[in-house]
Amino acid sequence: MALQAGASGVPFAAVPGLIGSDLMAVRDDFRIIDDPFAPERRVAIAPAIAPAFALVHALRADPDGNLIIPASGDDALLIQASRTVIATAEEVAPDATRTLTADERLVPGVYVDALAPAPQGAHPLACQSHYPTDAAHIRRYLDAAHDPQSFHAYLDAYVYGPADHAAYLERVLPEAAVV
Amino acid sequence: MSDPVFTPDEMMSVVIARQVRDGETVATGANSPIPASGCLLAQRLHAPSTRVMVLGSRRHFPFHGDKEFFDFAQRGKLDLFFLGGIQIDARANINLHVLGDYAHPARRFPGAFGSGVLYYVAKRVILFRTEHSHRVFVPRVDFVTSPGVTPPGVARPGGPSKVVTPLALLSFNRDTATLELESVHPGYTADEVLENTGFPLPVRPDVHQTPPPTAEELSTLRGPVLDEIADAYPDFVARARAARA
Repeated sequence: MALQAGASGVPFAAVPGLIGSDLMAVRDDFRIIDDPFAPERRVAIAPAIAPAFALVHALRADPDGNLIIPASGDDALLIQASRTVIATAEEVAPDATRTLTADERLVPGVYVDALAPAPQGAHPLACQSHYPTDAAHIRRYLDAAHDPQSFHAYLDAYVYGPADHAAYLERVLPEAAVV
Repeated sequence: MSDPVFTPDEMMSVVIARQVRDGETVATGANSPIPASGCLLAQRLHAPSTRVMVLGSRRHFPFHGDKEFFDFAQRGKLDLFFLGGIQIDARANINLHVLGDYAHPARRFPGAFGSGVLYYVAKRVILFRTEHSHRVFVPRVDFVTSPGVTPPGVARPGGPSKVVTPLALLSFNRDTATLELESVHPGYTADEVLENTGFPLPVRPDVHQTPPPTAEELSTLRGPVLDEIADAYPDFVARARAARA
């Protein structure tokens, strides 16, 4: 709801429910107003979310920044709500966005501020019709996240260590293959 | 249980299936394989015109994203939904956030994931939990992620209906705003349910034994229903199949 308000350029969203939840006590940005059109009714409101940046990974893209993304998912809303959109794509080619399958949708390039090709760029998460979630890697991350020392070792190995995306893939893909 | 011909998960799926009415539009949320299998079981047995939406499934999810699903539910189009609770209390308040004080929690959990909205707007909500114990069923939740009842002047077309556990089926009495014991699953007694509930649980005058799963319910659940949820819940399906092997 709040992202939709951000996408629509309006200052806040009216949200059904919430009143009676302790969330209203711990979130000082959630407020209660009298519905101006039905004053006996109270309604929760939340400020619009308009992220400074959205980072999205597309299935395909063309050099004008037009993106093909999965039809199911909330990436399009996130893109609409964000002030700056940085996209990566499995493939960038002039004719990559000419045809769509039923489970894909087009995001117009006017939303997109920066674009880079990044094959396997969603790893360790799945990318529709390309590759599944790398469950073994996610388990490795979960194990590492239990304490600061192993967490920093994970960051050194997979985030800070590889010089670039290609080096990252050289590190993680053989690990995935042996599981 | 002396004759474990079905698992606790299967009993829960069957109990949930029996709550689904033909023609309803029902949905199951994140990490809800038991409700998903229950709804699809109902669709294959007594509720063929029920429409079932399984979040996390490509096969059973028709919307362009969760936002569209919430829009649909908020317009009052969702007849039945399912929520869990780290804690559930006598008034059907649920806690999905923290154990202990919110600012300095003993344990922190993933959070509301929409329950602060869906518990209000879905016409009926069935709570489910695979553990029936004092640490789950508490007199008062540490944090009300979503309340069982709502202050006056707040739109609430829906709310709690039932609670399903491995031991029993509880029902929510809207007049008294409390949970009550409705039926006890095979292998357990009403006293065992009361002993494992951390608050005084009223017993309905018509309390009874939950009818055990029928052969048809079990064969449908173990065959086509597991196949149907495999895309959303591969680990759950693998465990369910291993439990019978």
